[in-house]
Amino acid sequence: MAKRNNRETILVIEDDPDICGFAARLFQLEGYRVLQAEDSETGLRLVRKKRVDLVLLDLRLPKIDGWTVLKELKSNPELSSIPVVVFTASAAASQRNRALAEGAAAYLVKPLSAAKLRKTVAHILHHKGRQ
Amino acid sequence: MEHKLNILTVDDDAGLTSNLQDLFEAEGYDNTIAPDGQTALTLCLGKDFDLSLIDFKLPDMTGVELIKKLTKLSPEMVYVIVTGYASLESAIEAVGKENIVSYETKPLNMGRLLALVKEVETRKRAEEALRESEARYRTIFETTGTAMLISEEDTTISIINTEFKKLCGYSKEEVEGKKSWIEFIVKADVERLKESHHLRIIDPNAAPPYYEFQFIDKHGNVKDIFITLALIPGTKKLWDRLLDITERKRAEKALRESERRFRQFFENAPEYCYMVSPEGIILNINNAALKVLGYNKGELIGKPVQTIYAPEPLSKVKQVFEKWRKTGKLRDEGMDIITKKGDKRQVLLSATAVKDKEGRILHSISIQTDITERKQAEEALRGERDRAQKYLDVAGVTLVALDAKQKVSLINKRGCEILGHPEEEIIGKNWFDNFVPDRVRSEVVAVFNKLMAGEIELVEYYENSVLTKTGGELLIAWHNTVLTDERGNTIGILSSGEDITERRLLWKRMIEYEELSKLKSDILSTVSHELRTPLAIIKGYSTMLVDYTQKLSSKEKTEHLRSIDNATDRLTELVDHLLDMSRLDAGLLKLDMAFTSISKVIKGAVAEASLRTPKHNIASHVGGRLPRVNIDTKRIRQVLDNLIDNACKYSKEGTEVVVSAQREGKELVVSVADQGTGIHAKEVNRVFDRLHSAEKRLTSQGEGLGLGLAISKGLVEAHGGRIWAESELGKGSTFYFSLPLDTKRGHNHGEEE
Repeated sequence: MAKRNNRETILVIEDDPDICGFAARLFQLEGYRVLQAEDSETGLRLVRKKRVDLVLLDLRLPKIDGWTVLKELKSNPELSSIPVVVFTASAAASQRNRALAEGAAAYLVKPLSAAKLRKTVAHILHHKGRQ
Repeated sequence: MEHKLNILTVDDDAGLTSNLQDLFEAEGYDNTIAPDGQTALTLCLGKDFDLSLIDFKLPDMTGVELIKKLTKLSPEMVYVIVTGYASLESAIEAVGKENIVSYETKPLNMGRLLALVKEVETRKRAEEALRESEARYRTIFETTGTAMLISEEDTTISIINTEFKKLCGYSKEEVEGKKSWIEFIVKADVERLKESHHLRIIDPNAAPPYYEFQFIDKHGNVKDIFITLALIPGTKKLWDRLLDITERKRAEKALRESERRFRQFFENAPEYCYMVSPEGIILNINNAALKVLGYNKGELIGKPVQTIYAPEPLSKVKQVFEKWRKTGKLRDEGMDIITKKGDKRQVLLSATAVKDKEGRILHSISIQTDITERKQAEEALRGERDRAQKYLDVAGVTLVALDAKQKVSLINKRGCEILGHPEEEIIGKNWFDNFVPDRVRSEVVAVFNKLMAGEIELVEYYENSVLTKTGGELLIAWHNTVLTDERGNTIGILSSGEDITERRLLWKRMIEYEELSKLKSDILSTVSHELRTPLAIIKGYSTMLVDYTQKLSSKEKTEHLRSIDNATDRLTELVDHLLDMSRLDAGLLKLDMAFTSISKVIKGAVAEASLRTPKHNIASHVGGRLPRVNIDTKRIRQVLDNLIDNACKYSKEGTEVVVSAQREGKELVVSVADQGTGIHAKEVNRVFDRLHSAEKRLTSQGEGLGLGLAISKGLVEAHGGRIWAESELGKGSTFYFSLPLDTKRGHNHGEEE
């Protein structure tokens, strides 16, 4: 159970409005502060300007895809510590391995239950907090 | 021819002449009296006298002088000299005795004189008869057409005829009485003929009545003469008939020469020669045959011809023999002959029939050419060739040799199989004309000719098509070697070719298969991706609704449930697309056809799209009266929706999307035009490919499977129409599809209002 005073901020980068809405609502219900971006440019701008504790990243995005965002975050020393959870419809193992190798904290494949998404994010944030 | 003697009495004694006149007239003789020599001479000019009685002593000349003069005028006349003196015998000698029959002294004994006259008369008559006979004889002698002569005992030629004159080249005067027949005989024959002559003179039957000898004429020409001789009865005169047989001799000689040559050939020919009777009996056989068969001549002559032929198959010998008897000839019949020792030899038998004037076969001339060694050599060569051919045939590749004139000089079994022709239909044919497809011929021939001319180096490997008997083409991979003669000149080319048609096809199929499986994998991956998105919504919201049911307001719950509902619609649509695609692929799509107004369909589609996409300005421009079309309305509507949605998707909000329709010939053409980004020229015709859309989906934005255009294409084609696009980057795209107008039925259903 996450605590309300955690107030960690989660950035959701997801172009499908229904999925974006779902994820954002879930994290709100869990007491996180939520930022939403429907494309990569918006997402990257937000992560640079605001405090973000975790990024939930879709890979297939218009214009700039999720892979570019992941690379951008991990190659920037100021941002590289922010855990990135990939949330994608692509189930290929090659994609998973590549994402983890490029620094993703977790690779989640759609569809996913609310509980699994919540637990994964909580675990990563808790683990990070302990460090 | 009774001819009374004409008598001329010359005497100046009138009493005597009158007495004589009476005497002769009484006897029926014609007597003329001349009193002197001159009168006698004058009378002789006008008449022929047979006998003249002349007084030795005439008034104007002597009796001897008169006889001399009269002999000149009338040479056949005979004389009786009447004289009173017997002492003048010496003078009479000088006249010559021949014509003076008697000397009578005066007084004349009339009885004796008359007897004398009668004797003269008889002699004259006989001479006349002989003359007549001789004249007849001479006529025959002259006109017989055969050269003739009469010669005397001493070989002098007394008479010749015109033919002999022609034969010998001399005139009659040059020959008659002057030449001996011996002068006309060539030296070699002289003694023989002289001897026969002597024998004949002694006894006409002791010498042969005819000869052949060689005659030499005035100009030294030698002629072959057949001479028939006969003694004229009662004389030693020879009557000779000469026949010029030079031409006959020459012909005979030529014949003899020909016969000699034939015999020489027959005896010495390297071939085996036989003469065989129509009954099949060996009449003659030459040395070569005897030598090879191992018999001597006596052992074979008179034996049946079967003796020299191998007993098996005997029917062959009979058959061939019958063939010869019927046709009179044989040509290169393959036969086996058998030697005395029992060895077989192979011969080619040729024979002709020698026939008599009536056409009956006398015998055959048979010639056998021994081909045993040749056959053996051929056998060995064939063995060699067969072995080589086997190697060639065993080879799984085509082997072809071409000479410099482009003709096939060799091809192996595999090559024949590939081309579908038997070997004999290929060997000697022009390779390029017959076995290379038209479209590449000139190019290949040019290369070949340059190669033969030494203008280019050998192309050791190339791939080329050949033309098969059935008109098909096979792709062959060729490896080539140039063939050269001992001087190093290029004389042809040897190529081994491998049929790579199947392999090439397999490659193609493999590539296609790989592309297809990649496509399938891409589609699967896309499908999976597209399914997971709505599923994520359903899963996410449904679990949230369960997990957070206490915290959610009923209004919020309703929103989430609506999202779940939308997501299931998306899933349904995806499944429908997939099914459409697979039905189109399998040709299983069923169309529910009906004659429909296209204007209504377009208007309906535009109205609904305007609701779905309110930010675009969607309009329909359907001009004029359009015929009804036979379509599945639902499916054509699906195509329209897809094209309109695409147009909206790839163009900015607020821009126009125009849907139009118009008749073009036997088609109705519908178009959807946007003012969007447009499509690159290279891409414009690929947008209907599934592969293309799948690729696009994976690498870019947008939702859905991207199968929309591929499905639209399938649907339009299922209606018998076409679909295409025109586009310019930055200016927008126009998508068209056509629907065929069934003109007959279209009219029956009337035109739209």
